[in-house]
Amino acid sequence: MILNNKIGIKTKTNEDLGYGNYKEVFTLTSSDISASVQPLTIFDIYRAGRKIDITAYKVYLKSDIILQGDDRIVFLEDDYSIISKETWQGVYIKLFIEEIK
Amino acid sequence: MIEENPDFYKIMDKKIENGLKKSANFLKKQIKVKIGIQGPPRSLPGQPPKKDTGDLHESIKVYEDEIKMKKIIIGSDIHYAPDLEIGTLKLLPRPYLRQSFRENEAEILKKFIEGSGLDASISTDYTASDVPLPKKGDI
Repeated sequence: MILNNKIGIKTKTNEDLGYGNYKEVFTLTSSDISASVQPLTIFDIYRAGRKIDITAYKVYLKSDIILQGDDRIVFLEDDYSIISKETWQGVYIKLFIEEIK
Repeated sequence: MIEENPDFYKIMDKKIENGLKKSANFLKKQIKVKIGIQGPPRSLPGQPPKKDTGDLHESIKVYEDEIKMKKIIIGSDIHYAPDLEIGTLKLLPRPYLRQSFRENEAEILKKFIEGSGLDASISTDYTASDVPLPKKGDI
């Protein structure tokens, strides 16, 4: 199914998992996760005043929210996913650059 | 041309790492400001949590473990940090990470450019499929 342009399979309601009625809970495969992340911003990079071909060095700044504690993925809002796949606890936001050389 | 300089990508990688570090440390500061207001009164749903013991405030850190992969993480490892951010059955969310990011997105991008030392401009509204293929000699 598609929710907020993200692909997911609904497995349990958020109430089942104790998250109140805030949003729904989905499980995804790793390929779905990458498909679900949308770039927030793209930088055009210049070198010596000349634009570098963006295909040669494409740079995105993206963000994710990561919730760590068990094996769940919770979509919170359009541009954010909570990914929870590790054993350590906490909540984090990740900034990352994706490049294609 | 880029191909003539074998260190080009190495230099770019370092610049991007520096940019990410600057962005992340800026965001960390903004998060700390957001959750740095001493309570009581306690925060209302939708507001960032007020300072109580100060543990959450102190726990906000930048993690550079994935910096070589051009990823940087900012957050808290305190057990109740996710409860405040996303809520529980008994507690409505008090988002502080997402709010801090959203309210400062433009500045975070500026810090990235400053930190990286790149001559960069910010563009939006196009995706990878819109990007033309490179032509030899274009760079």
